[in-house]
Amino acid sequence: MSFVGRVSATKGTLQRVKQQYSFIKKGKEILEMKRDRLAGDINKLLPELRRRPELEKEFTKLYKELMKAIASRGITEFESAGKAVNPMETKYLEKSIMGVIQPEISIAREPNIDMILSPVIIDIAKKFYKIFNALLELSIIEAKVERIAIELMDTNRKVNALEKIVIPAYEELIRYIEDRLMEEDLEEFVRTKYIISRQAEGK
Amino acid sequence: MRSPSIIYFITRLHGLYTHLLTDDKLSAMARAPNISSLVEILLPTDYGPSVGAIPTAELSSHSLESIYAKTYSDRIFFPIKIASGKIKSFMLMFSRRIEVENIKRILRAKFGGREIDERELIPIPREYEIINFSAMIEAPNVDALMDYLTVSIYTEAAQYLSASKEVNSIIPLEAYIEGVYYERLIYASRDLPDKREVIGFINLESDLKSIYYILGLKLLEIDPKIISSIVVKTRSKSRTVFEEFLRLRPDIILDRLSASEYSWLVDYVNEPITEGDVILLSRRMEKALYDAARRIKMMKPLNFVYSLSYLLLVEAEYKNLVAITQGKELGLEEEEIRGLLV
Repeated sequence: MSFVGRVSATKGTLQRVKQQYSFIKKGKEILEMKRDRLAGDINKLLPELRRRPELEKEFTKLYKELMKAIASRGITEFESAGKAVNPMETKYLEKSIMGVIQPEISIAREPNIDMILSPVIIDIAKKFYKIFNALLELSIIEAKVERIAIELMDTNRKVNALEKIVIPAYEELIRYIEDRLMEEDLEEFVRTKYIISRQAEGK
Repeated sequence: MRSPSIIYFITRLHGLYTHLLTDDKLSAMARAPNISSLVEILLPTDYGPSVGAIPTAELSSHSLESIYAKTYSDRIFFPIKIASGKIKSFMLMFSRRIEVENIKRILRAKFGGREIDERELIPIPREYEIINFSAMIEAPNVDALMDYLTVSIYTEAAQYLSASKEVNSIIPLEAYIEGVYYERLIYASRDLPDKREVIGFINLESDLKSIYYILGLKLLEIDPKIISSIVVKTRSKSRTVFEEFLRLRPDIILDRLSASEYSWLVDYVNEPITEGDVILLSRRMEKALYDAARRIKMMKPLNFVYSLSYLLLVEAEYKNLVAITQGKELGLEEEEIRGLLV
Protein backbone atom coordinates (compact mmCIF):
# COMPACT_ATOMS: atom_id res chain seq x y z
CA MET A 1 0.00 0.00 0.00
CA SER A 2 1.46 3.30 -1.01
CA PHE A 3 -0.02 6.77 -1.17
CA VAL A 4 3.09 8.17 -2.78
CA GLY A 5 2.27 10.07 -5.95
CA ARG A 6 -1.40 10.11 -5.08
CA VAL A 7 -1.24 13.21 -2.95
CA SER A 8 0.03 16.66 -3.61
CA ALA A 9 3.17 17.44 -1.61
CA THR A 10 2.18 20.59 0.20
CA LYS A 11 2.75 21.76 3.72
CA GLY A 12 -0.99 21.56 4.35
CA THR A 13 -1.04 17.95 3.16
CA LEU A 14 1.96 17.15 5.36
CA GLN A 15 0.25 18.60 8.38
CA ARG A 16 -2.94 16.65 7.65
CA VAL A 17 -1.03 13.41 6.98
CA LYS A 18 0.98 13.86 10.18
CA GLN A 19 -2.25 14.34 12.12
CA GLN A 20 -3.66 11.20 10.55
CA TYR A 21 -0.42 9.34 11.26
CA SER A 22 -0.49 10.32 14.91
CA PHE A 23 -4.18 9.33 15.13
CA ILE A 24 -3.47 5.96 13.52
CA LYS A 25 -0.55 5.33 15.90
CA LYS A 26 -2.76 6.09 18.87
CA GLY A 27 -5.43 3.81 17.40
CA LYS A 28 -2.86 1.09 16.99
CA GLU A 29 -1.78 1.48 20.61
CA ILE A 30 -5.39 1.23 21.77
CA LEU A 31 -5.94 -1.82 19.59
CA GLU A 32 -2.76 -3.36 20.99
CA MET A 33 -4.05 -2.75 24.48
CA LYS A 34 -7.37 -4.32 23.52
CA ARG A 35 -5.55 -7.29 21.97
CA ASP A 36 -3.49 -7.79 25.12
CA ARG A 37 -6.56 -7.54 27.30
CA LEU A 38 -8.49 -10.03 25.12
CA ALA A 39 -5.52 -12.41 25.13
CA GLY A 40 -5.35 -12.02 28.92
CA ASP A 41 -9.07 -12.78 29.20
CA ILE A 42 -8.71 -15.90 27.08
CA ASN A 43 -5.71 -17.04 29.11
CA LYS A 44 -7.72 -16.57 32.26
CA LEU A 45 -10.67 -18.59 30.89
CA LEU A 46 -8.66 -21.39 29.26
CA PRO A 47 -8.11 -23.43 32.47
CA GLU A 48 -11.88 -23.48 32.93
CA LEU A 49 -12.29 -25.13 29.53
CA ARG A 50 -10.10 -28.00 30.65
CA ARG A 51 -12.94 -29.00 33.00
CA ARG A 52 -15.08 -30.29 30.10
CA PRO A 53 -13.62 -33.82 29.82
CA GLU A 54 -13.85 -34.18 33.59
CA LEU A 55 -17.46 -32.97 33.59
CA GLU A 56 -18.37 -35.20 30.66
CA LYS A 57 -16.89 -38.18 32.51
CA GLU A 58 -18.87 -37.26 35.60
CA PHE A 59 -22.02 -36.81 33.50
CA THR A 60 -21.61 -40.26 31.92
CA LYS A 61 -21.15 -41.80 35.38
CA LEU A 62 -24.22 -39.99 36.63
CA TYR A 63 -26.23 -41.09 33.60
CA LYS A 64 -25.42 -44.69 34.51
CA GLU A 65 -26.60 -43.96 38.05
CA LEU A 66 -29.79 -42.43 36.65
CA MET A 67 -30.47 -45.60 34.67
CA LYS A 68 -30.11 -47.63 37.86
CA ALA A 69 -32.37 -45.21 39.72
CA ILE A 70 -35.05 -45.41 36.99
CA ALA A 71 -34.80 -49.20 36.99
CA SER A 72 -35.14 -49.26 40.77
CA ARG A 73 -38.17 -46.95 41.03
CA GLY A 74 -39.76 -47.37 37.58
CA ILE A 75 -40.26 -44.74 34.90
CA THR A 76 -43.81 -43.99 36.12
CA GLU A 77 -42.58 -42.90 39.55
CA PHE A 78 -39.91 -40.74 37.96
CA GLU A 79 -42.46 -39.10 35.67
CA SER A 80 -44.81 -38.59 38.57
CA ALA A 81 -42.05 -37.04 40.71
CA GLY A 82 -41.01 -34.82 37.83
CA LYS A 83 -44.47 -33.30 37.70
CA ALA A 84 -44.18 -31.98 41.25
CA VAL A 85 -41.03 -30.06 40.50
CA ASN A 86 -41.20 -26.56 39.09
CA PRO A 87 -38.95 -26.40 36.06
CA MET A 88 -35.93 -24.14 36.40
CA GLU A 89 -36.05 -20.81 34.63
CA THR A 90 -33.07 -19.04 33.15
CA LYS A 91 -32.45 -15.45 32.14
CA TYR A 92 -30.33 -14.63 29.11
CA LEU A 93 -28.40 -11.37 29.06
CA GLU A 94 -25.77 -10.00 26.73
CA LYS A 95 -22.92 -7.86 28.00
CA SER A 96 -20.68 -5.85 25.72
CA ILE A 97 -17.11 -5.70 26.97
CA MET A 98 -14.77 -3.77 24.63
CA GLY A 99 -17.21 -4.38 21.82
CA VAL A 100 -17.34 -8.11 22.43
CA ILE A 101 -20.88 -9.31 23.04
CA GLN A 102 -20.65 -11.87 25.83
CA PRO A 103 -23.56 -14.08 26.85
CA GLU A 104 -24.60 -14.26 30.49
CA ILE A 105 -27.13 -16.88 31.60
CA SER A 106 -28.38 -16.68 35.14
CA ILE A 107 -30.84 -18.96 36.92
CA ALA A 108 -34.00 -16.97 37.53
CA ARG A 109 -35.80 -19.76 39.39
CA GLU A 110 -34.24 -22.87 40.89
CA PRO A 111 -36.20 -26.12 40.58
CA ASN A 112 -37.61 -27.19 43.94
CA ILE A 113 -35.99 -30.61 44.00
CA ASP A 114 -36.67 -31.33 47.68
CA MET A 115 -40.30 -31.78 46.74
CA ILE A 116 -41.24 -35.39 46.89
CA LEU A 117 -41.13 -38.23 49.33
CA SER A 118 -38.57 -40.26 47.38
CA PRO A 119 -34.94 -39.91 48.50
CA VAL A 120 -33.74 -41.82 45.40
CA ILE A 121 -35.30 -39.30 43.04
CA ILE A 122 -34.24 -36.29 45.13
CA ASP A 123 -30.69 -37.66 45.22
CA ILE A 124 -30.37 -38.18 41.47
CA ALA A 125 -32.15 -34.91 40.68
CA LYS A 126 -29.79 -32.98 42.98
CA LYS A 127 -26.74 -34.58 41.41
CA PHE A 128 -28.01 -33.84 37.91
CA TYR A 129 -28.87 -30.27 38.81
CA LYS A 130 -25.35 -29.75 40.18
CA ILE A 131 -23.70 -31.09 37.05
CA PHE A 132 -26.17 -29.23 34.85
CA ASN A 133 -25.17 -25.99 36.56
CA ALA A 134 -21.49 -26.79 36.05
CA LEU A 135 -22.16 -27.55 32.36
CA LEU A 136 -24.16 -24.36 31.99
CA GLU A 137 -21.30 -22.34 33.49
CA LEU A 138 -18.85 -24.11 31.23
CA SER A 139 -20.90 -23.48 28.09
CA ILE A 140 -21.14 -19.78 28.97
CA ILE A 141 -17.34 -19.71 29.29
CA GLU A 142 -16.99 -21.59 25.99
CA ALA A 143 -19.27 -19.10 24.27
CA LYS A 144 -17.26 -16.22 25.80
CA VAL A 145 -13.95 -17.73 24.72
CA GLU A 146 -15.29 -18.30 21.21
CA ARG A 147 -16.46 -14.71 20.87
CA ILE A 148 -13.32 -13.26 22.46
CA ALA A 149 -11.19 -15.43 20.17
CA ILE A 150 -13.02 -14.13 17.08
CA GLU A 151 -12.61 -10.56 18.33
CA LEU A 152 -8.94 -11.23 19.14
CA MET A 153 -8.32 -12.52 15.62
CA ASP A 154 -10.05 -9.47 14.20
CA THR A 155 -8.13 -7.05 16.44
CA ASN A 156 -4.86 -8.79 15.72
CA ARG A 157 -5.51 -8.47 12.00
CA LYS A 158 -6.21 -4.75 12.42
CA VAL A 159 -3.07 -4.22 14.52
CA ASN A 160 -0.98 -6.12 11.99
CA ALA A 161 -2.48 -4.16 9.12
CA LEU A 162 -1.73 -0.91 10.89
CA GLU A 163 1.75 -2.00 11.97
CA LYS A 164 2.86 -3.64 8.75
CA ILE A 165 1.00 -1.72 6.07
CA VAL A 166 -0.79 1.48 7.06
CA ILE A 167 1.83 2.99 9.39
CA PRO A 168 4.81 2.24 7.08
CA ALA A 169 2.79 3.67 4.18
CA TYR A 170 2.10 6.83 6.14
CA GLU A 171 5.75 7.05 7.20
CA GLU A 172 6.76 6.67 3.58
CA LEU A 173 4.25 9.30 2.56
CA ILE A 174 5.44 11.72 5.23
CA ARG A 175 9.02 11.10 4.24
CA TYR A 176 8.10 11.63 0.59
CA ILE A 177 6.22 14.87 1.27
CA GLU A 178 8.99 16.14 3.54
CA ASP A 179 11.60 15.29 0.88
CA ARG A 180 9.53 16.98 -1.79
CA LEU A 181 9.00 20.03 0.40
CA MET A 182 12.72 20.15 1.21
CA GLU A 183 13.53 19.90 -2.48
CA GLU A 184 11.00 22.62 -3.22
CA ASP A 185 12.47 24.75 -0.41
CA LEU A 186 15.95 24.19 -1.81
CA GLU A 187 14.78 25.04 -5.31
CA GLU A 188 13.08 28.13 -3.96
CA PHE A 189 16.20 29.09 -2.04
CA VAL A 190 18.40 28.62 -5.11
CA ARG A 191 15.90 30.49 -7.20
CA THR A 192 15.77 33.36 -4.71
CA LYS A 193 19.54 33.42 -4.46
CA TYR A 194 19.78 33.49 -8.23
CA ILE A 195 17.29 36.34 -8.52
CA ILE A 196 19.05 38.32 -5.78
CA SER A 197 22.44 37.83 -7.51
CA ARG A 198 20.95 38.87 -10.88
CA GLN A 199 19.41 41.94 -9.36
CA ALA A 200 22.77 42.82 -7.74
CA GLU A 201 24.52 42.39 -11.08
CA GLY A 202 21.92 44.65 -12.80
CA LYS A 203 22.56 47.46 -10.40
CA MET B 1 -60.20 -73.73 66.64
CA ARG B 2 -59.97 -71.52 63.58
CA SER B 3 -63.07 -70.56 61.70
CA PRO B 4 -63.52 -72.32 58.35
CA SER B 5 -63.63 -68.96 56.58
CA ILE B 6 -60.13 -68.11 57.80
CA ILE B 7 -58.80 -71.54 56.88
CA TYR B 8 -60.42 -71.22 53.45
CA PHE B 9 -58.98 -67.73 52.99
CA ILE B 10 -55.42 -68.70 53.96
CA THR B 11 -55.59 -71.86 51.86
CA ARG B 12 -56.68 -69.85 48.83
CA LEU B 13 -53.76 -67.47 49.38
CA HIS B 14 -51.40 -70.45 49.51
CA GLY B 15 -52.81 -71.44 46.14
CA LEU B 16 -52.43 -67.90 44.81
CA TYR B 17 -48.85 -67.80 46.05
CA THR B 18 -47.95 -70.50 43.52
CA HIS B 19 -48.84 -68.00 40.78
CA LEU B 20 -46.00 -65.69 41.80
CA LEU B 21 -42.85 -65.84 39.72
CA THR B 22 -40.11 -68.01 41.14
CA ASP B 23 -36.58 -66.76 41.78
CA ASP B 24 -35.41 -68.91 38.84
CA LYS B 25 -37.85 -67.14 36.51
CA LEU B 26 -36.70 -63.73 37.74
CA SER B 27 -33.07 -64.78 37.24
CA ALA B 28 -33.84 -65.98 33.73
CA MET B 29 -35.49 -62.63 33.00
CA ALA B 30 -32.48 -60.76 34.35
CA ARG B 31 -30.32 -62.85 31.99
CA ALA B 32 -32.59 -62.26 28.96
CA PRO B 33 -30.74 -60.41 26.21
CA ASN B 34 -33.63 -58.05 25.44
CA ILE B 35 -37.24 -57.18 26.21
CA SER B 36 -38.64 -59.60 23.59
CA SER B 37 -36.85 -62.53 25.24
CA LEU B 38 -38.10 -61.30 28.59
CA VAL B 39 -41.67 -61.34 27.28
CA GLU B 40 -41.22 -64.93 26.09
CA ILE B 41 -40.37 -65.94 29.66
CA LEU B 42 -43.54 -64.18 30.87
CA LEU B 43 -45.84 -65.86 28.32
CA PRO B 44 -46.57 -69.04 30.35
CA THR B 45 -47.30 -66.98 33.51
CA ASP B 46 -50.29 -64.90 34.69
CA TYR B 47 -48.89 -62.02 32.64
CA GLY B 48 -48.96 -64.14 29.45
CA PRO B 49 -52.35 -63.16 27.97
CA SER B 50 -51.70 -59.43 28.43
CA VAL B 51 -48.06 -59.28 27.34
CA GLY B 52 -48.77 -61.66 24.45
CA ALA B 53 -51.34 -59.19 23.14
CA ILE B 54 -48.83 -56.34 22.78
CA PRO B 55 -47.61 -56.03 19.18
CA THR B 56 -43.81 -56.46 19.00
CA ALA B 57 -43.40 -52.91 17.71
CA GLU B 58 -45.14 -51.55 20.81
CA LEU B 59 -43.11 -53.55 23.33
CA SER B 60 -41.53 -51.15 25.77
CA SER B 61 -40.98 -50.75 29.48
CA HIS B 62 -43.93 -48.33 29.50
CA SER B 63 -46.41 -50.79 27.97
CA LEU B 64 -45.11 -53.65 30.12
CA GLU B 65 -45.14 -51.54 33.29
CA SER B 66 -48.85 -50.81 32.81
CA ILE B 67 -49.52 -54.57 32.50
CA TYR B 68 -47.51 -55.27 35.64
CA ALA B 69 -49.46 -52.54 37.43
CA LYS B 70 -52.78 -54.03 36.29
CA THR B 71 -51.79 -57.54 37.42
CA TYR B 72 -50.48 -56.14 40.72
CA SER B 73 -53.77 -54.33 41.26
CA ASP B 74 -55.85 -57.42 40.35
CA ARG B 75 -53.83 -59.55 42.78
CA ILE B 76 -54.16 -57.01 45.60
CA PHE B 77 -57.93 -56.71 45.11
CA PHE B 78 -58.68 -60.39 44.49
CA PRO B 79 -58.45 -61.53 48.17
CA ILE B 80 -61.32 -59.11 48.97
CA LYS B 81 -63.58 -61.28 46.81
CA ILE B 82 -62.78 -64.45 48.72
CA ALA B 83 -62.90 -62.83 52.16
CA SER B 84 -65.81 -62.04 54.42
CA GLY B 85 -66.55 -60.04 57.55
CA LYS B 86 -63.61 -58.39 59.31
CA ILE B 87 -61.11 -60.02 56.99
CA LYS B 88 -62.86 -58.41 54.02
CA SER B 89 -62.78 -55.00 55.74
CA PHE B 90 -59.08 -55.46 56.47
CA MET B 91 -58.33 -56.52 52.89
CA LEU B 92 -60.28 -53.54 51.61
CA MET B 93 -58.20 -51.27 53.82
CA PHE B 94 -54.98 -52.98 52.77
CA SER B 95 -55.83 -52.50 49.08
CA ARG B 96 -56.08 -48.75 49.69
CA ARG B 97 -52.29 -48.59 49.40
CA ILE B 98 -52.92 -48.42 45.65
CA GLU B 99 -55.26 -45.50 46.29
CA VAL B 100 -52.47 -43.85 48.34
CA GLU B 101 -50.04 -44.27 45.44
CA ASN B 102 -52.57 -42.79 42.99
CA ILE B 103 -53.35 -39.87 45.32
CA LYS B 104 -49.63 -39.15 45.57
CA ARG B 105 -49.30 -39.14 41.79
CA ILE B 106 -52.22 -36.73 41.36
CA LEU B 107 -51.03 -34.49 44.21
CA ARG B 108 -47.54 -34.24 42.71
CA ALA B 109 -48.92 -33.25 39.32
CA LYS B 110 -51.36 -30.69 40.73
CA PHE B 111 -48.81 -29.29 43.19
CA GLY B 112 -46.46 -28.70 40.28
CA GLY B 113 -49.30 -27.25 38.18
CA ARG B 114 -49.10 -30.06 35.60
CA GLU B 115 -51.63 -32.18 33.77
CA ILE B 116 -52.15 -35.83 34.64
CA ASP B 117 -53.89 -38.58 32.74
CA GLU B 118 -55.92 -41.47 34.17
CA ARG B 119 -53.57 -43.87 32.37
CA GLU B 120 -50.77 -42.70 34.67
CA LEU B 121 -52.57 -44.20 37.67
CA ILE B 122 -52.54 -47.80 38.86
CA PRO B 123 -55.92 -49.19 37.80
CA ILE B 124 -58.41 -49.77 40.60
CA PRO B 125 -61.49 -51.90 39.89
CA ARG B 126 -64.51 -49.60 39.72
CA GLU B 127 -66.30 -51.34 42.61
CA TYR B 128 -63.40 -50.58 44.96
CA GLU B 129 -62.81 -46.99 43.90
CA ILE B 130 -63.64 -44.97 47.02
CA ILE B 131 -61.96 -41.72 45.96
CA ASN B 132 -63.20 -39.98 42.84
CA PHE B 133 -59.98 -40.05 40.85
CA SER B 134 -61.58 -38.81 37.62
CA ALA B 135 -62.77 -35.67 39.43
CA MET B 136 -59.40 -35.24 41.11
CA ILE B 137 -57.68 -35.39 37.72
CA GLU B 138 -60.04 -32.71 36.43
CA ALA B 139 -59.50 -30.46 39.46
CA PRO B 140 -58.03 -27.10 38.42
CA ASN B 141 -55.46 -26.96 41.22
CA VAL B 142 -54.17 -28.68 44.31
CA ASP B 143 -56.51 -26.74 46.63
CA ALA B 144 -59.54 -28.03 44.76
CA LEU B 145 -58.28 -31.60 45.34
CA MET B 146 -58.74 -31.21 49.07
CA ASP B 147 -62.53 -31.38 48.70
CA TYR B 148 -62.19 -34.94 47.42
CA LEU B 149 -59.67 -36.00 50.08
CA THR B 150 -61.19 -34.46 53.19
CA VAL B 151 -64.52 -36.25 52.64
CA SER B 152 -62.61 -39.52 52.76
CA ILE B 153 -60.27 -40.81 55.49
CA TYR B 154 -57.77 -38.01 54.83
CA THR B 155 -59.73 -35.46 56.81
CA GLU B 156 -56.76 -33.26 57.73
CA ALA B 157 -55.31 -33.16 54.21
CA ALA B 158 -56.01 -29.42 53.84
CA GLN B 159 -53.94 -28.62 56.95
CA TYR B 160 -51.03 -30.67 55.65
CA LEU B 161 -51.34 -28.96 52.30
CA SER B 162 -50.78 -25.64 54.08
CA ALA B 163 -47.73 -27.15 55.79
CA SER B 164 -46.50 -28.34 52.40
CA LYS B 165 -46.97 -24.92 50.88
CA GLU B 166 -45.09 -23.37 53.78
CA VAL B 167 -41.98 -25.47 53.16
CA ASN B 168 -42.55 -25.58 49.39
CA SER B 169 -42.41 -29.36 49.41
CA ILE B 170 -45.14 -31.94 49.07
CA ILE B 171 -43.36 -34.24 51.54
CA PRO B 172 -45.52 -33.28 54.60
CA LEU B 173 -48.74 -34.00 52.66
CA GLU B 174 -47.45 -37.27 51.18
CA ALA B 175 -46.22 -38.37 54.61
CA TYR B 176 -49.64 -37.54 56.07
CA ILE B 177 -51.49 -39.58 53.42
CA GLU B 178 -49.20 -42.57 54.07
CA GLY B 179 -49.51 -42.07 57.83
CA VAL B 180 -53.31 -42.12 57.69
CA TYR B 181 -53.19 -45.30 55.63
CA TYR B 182 -51.09 -47.18 58.19
CA GLU B 183 -53.14 -45.79 61.06
CA ARG B 184 -56.36 -47.03 59.46
CA LEU B 185 -54.82 -50.35 58.52
CA ILE B 186 -53.84 -50.97 62.13
CA TYR B 187 -57.34 -49.96 63.18
CA ALA B 188 -58.85 -52.38 60.66
CA SER B 189 -56.75 -55.22 62.06
CA ARG B 190 -57.88 -54.79 65.67
CA ASP B 191 -60.43 -57.63 65.53
CA LEU B 192 -58.53 -59.94 63.21
CA PRO B 193 -57.32 -63.37 64.17
CA ASP B 194 -53.59 -63.30 65.03
CA LYS B 195 -53.89 -59.53 65.34
CA ARG B 196 -50.67 -59.25 67.37
CA GLU B 197 -48.60 -60.61 64.48
CA VAL B 198 -50.58 -58.64 61.90
CA ILE B 199 -50.20 -55.33 63.74
CA GLY B 200 -46.55 -56.12 64.39
CA PHE B 201 -45.98 -56.63 60.68
CA ILE B 202 -47.87 -53.49 59.66
CA ASN B 203 -45.82 -51.52 62.20
CA LEU B 204 -42.67 -53.08 60.80
CA GLU B 205 -43.54 -51.90 57.29
CA SER B 206 -44.48 -48.43 58.48
CA ASP B 207 -41.34 -48.14 60.65
CA LEU B 208 -39.05 -49.34 57.86
CA LYS B 209 -40.52 -46.68 55.59
CA SER B 210 -39.99 -44.01 58.25
CA ILE B 211 -36.40 -45.15 58.84
CA TYR B 212 -35.74 -45.14 55.09
CA TYR B 213 -37.17 -41.66 54.63
CA ILE B 214 -35.24 -40.29 57.62
CA LEU B 215 -31.96 -41.94 56.61
CA GLY B 216 -32.35 -41.12 52.91
CA LEU B 217 -33.35 -37.50 53.45
CA LYS B 218 -30.64 -37.08 56.12
CA LEU B 219 -28.05 -38.37 53.66
CA LEU B 220 -29.29 -35.73 51.22
CA GLU B 221 -29.17 -33.01 53.89
CA ILE B 222 -32.80 -32.04 53.37
CA ASP B 223 -34.25 -29.34 55.62
CA PRO B 224 -34.85 -30.97 59.07
CA LYS B 225 -38.23 -29.22 59.23
CA ILE B 226 -39.35 -31.24 56.18
CA ILE B 227 -37.91 -34.50 57.52
CA SER B 228 -39.65 -34.03 60.86
CA SER B 229 -43.03 -34.04 59.05
CA ILE B 230 -42.46 -37.73 58.32
CA VAL B 231 -42.75 -38.84 61.93
CA VAL B 232 -45.72 -36.62 62.70
CA LYS B 233 -48.36 -39.24 61.88
CA THR B 234 -46.54 -42.32 63.06
CA ARG B 235 -48.02 -44.06 66.08
CA SER B 236 -45.11 -46.44 66.24
CA LYS B 237 -43.66 -47.30 69.63
CA SER B 238 -40.32 -46.37 68.06
CA ARG B 239 -41.51 -42.81 67.52
CA THR B 240 -39.19 -41.39 70.17
CA VAL B 241 -36.29 -43.23 68.52
CA PHE B 242 -37.23 -41.71 65.16
CA GLU B 243 -37.44 -38.26 66.72
CA GLU B 244 -33.96 -38.82 68.08
CA PHE B 245 -32.80 -39.88 64.58
CA LEU B 246 -33.89 -36.48 63.28
CA ARG B 247 -31.18 -34.84 65.35
CA LEU B 248 -28.40 -37.30 64.49
CA ARG B 249 -25.97 -37.76 61.60
CA PRO B 250 -26.64 -40.87 59.40
CA ASP B 251 -23.54 -42.71 60.71
CA ILE B 252 -24.60 -42.05 64.30
CA ILE B 253 -28.15 -43.14 63.45
CA LEU B 254 -26.57 -46.44 62.45
CA ASP B 255 -25.07 -46.83 65.95
CA ARG B 256 -28.37 -45.89 67.53
CA LEU B 257 -30.19 -48.33 65.23
CA SER B 258 -27.96 -51.19 66.37
CA ALA B 259 -29.07 -50.52 69.94
CA SER B 260 -32.78 -50.49 69.00
CA GLU B 261 -35.26 -53.26 68.23
CA TYR B 262 -34.21 -52.86 64.58
CA SER B 263 -30.59 -53.90 65.18
CA TRP B 264 -31.04 -56.62 62.52
CA LEU B 265 -31.51 -53.83 59.97
CA VAL B 266 -27.93 -52.64 60.35
CA ASP B 267 -26.66 -55.46 58.09
CA TYR B 268 -28.96 -54.19 55.34
CA VAL B 269 -28.16 -50.47 55.62
CA ASN B 270 -24.55 -50.39 56.78
CA GLU B 271 -23.04 -50.45 53.27
CA PRO B 272 -25.36 -47.86 51.66
CA ILE B 273 -25.02 -45.48 54.63
CA THR B 274 -21.23 -45.77 54.66
CA GLU B 275 -21.08 -45.19 50.90
CA GLY B 276 -23.85 -42.58 50.87
CA ASP B 277 -25.66 -44.62 48.18
CA VAL B 278 -29.36 -43.70 48.33
CA ILE B 279 -30.43 -46.09 45.54
CA LEU B 280 -28.84 -49.00 47.37
CA LEU B 281 -30.39 -47.80 50.62
CA SER B 282 -33.87 -47.81 49.07
CA ARG B 283 -33.45 -51.32 47.66
CA ARG B 284 -31.93 -52.66 50.89
CA MET B 285 -34.78 -51.26 52.98
CA GLU B 286 -37.32 -52.83 50.63
CA LYS B 287 -35.37 -56.06 50.68
CA ALA B 288 -35.39 -56.01 54.49
CA LEU B 289 -39.20 -55.76 54.44
CA TYR B 290 -39.74 -58.42 51.79
CA ASP B 291 -37.22 -60.75 53.46
CA ALA B 292 -39.28 -60.39 56.62
CA ALA B 293 -42.37 -61.29 54.55
CA ARG B 294 -40.54 -64.36 53.16
CA ARG B 295 -39.60 -65.43 56.68
CA ILE B 296 -43.23 -65.15 57.77
CA LYS B 297 -44.32 -67.18 54.75
CA MET B 298 -41.96 -69.97 55.80
CA MET B 299 -42.49 -69.82 59.54
CA LYS B 300 -46.16 -68.94 59.93
CA PRO B 301 -47.97 -70.53 57.00
CA LEU B 302 -51.22 -70.97 58.91
CA ASN B 303 -51.20 -67.65 60.73
CA PHE B 304 -53.35 -64.84 59.35
CA VAL B 305 -50.20 -62.73 58.96
CA TYR B 306 -49.43 -65.06 56.04
CA SER B 307 -51.96 -63.04 54.02
CA LEU B 308 -49.90 -59.89 54.55
CA SER B 309 -46.77 -61.76 53.60
CA TYR B 310 -48.44 -62.91 50.35
CA LEU B 311 -49.66 -59.41 49.49
CA LEU B 312 -46.26 -57.86 50.16
CA LEU B 313 -44.59 -60.49 48.00
CA VAL B 314 -47.05 -59.59 45.23
CA GLU B 315 -45.76 -56.03 45.60
CA ALA B 316 -42.14 -57.25 45.59
CA GLU B 317 -42.79 -59.11 42.33
CA TYR B 318 -44.25 -55.96 40.78
CA LYS B 319 -41.19 -53.95 41.81
CA ASN B 320 -38.81 -56.66 40.60
CA LEU B 321 -40.52 -56.89 37.21
CA VAL B 322 -40.35 -53.10 36.83
CA ALA B 323 -36.64 -53.16 37.75
CA ILE B 324 -35.83 -55.98 35.31
CA THR B 325 -37.81 -54.49 32.42
CA GLN B 326 -36.47 -50.97 32.92
CA GLY B 327 -32.97 -52.37 33.39
CA LYS B 328 -33.23 -54.31 30.13
CA GLU B 329 -34.55 -51.33 28.22
CA LEU B 330 -31.81 -49.08 29.60
CA GLY B 331 -29.13 -51.67 28.83
CA LEU B 332 -28.04 -52.44 32.42
CA GLU B 333 -25.81 -55.47 32.96
CA GLU B 334 -27.29 -58.66 34.43
CA GLU B 335 -25.36 -58.15 37.68
CA GLU B 336 -26.61 -54.58 38.03
CA ILE B 337 -30.22 -55.76 37.53
CA ARG B 338 -29.73 -58.54 40.07
CA GLY B 339 -28.49 -55.92 42.53
CA LEU B 340 -31.81 -54.10 42.17
CA LEU B 341 -34.02 -57.10 42.93
CA VAL B 342 -35.75 -57.09 46.29
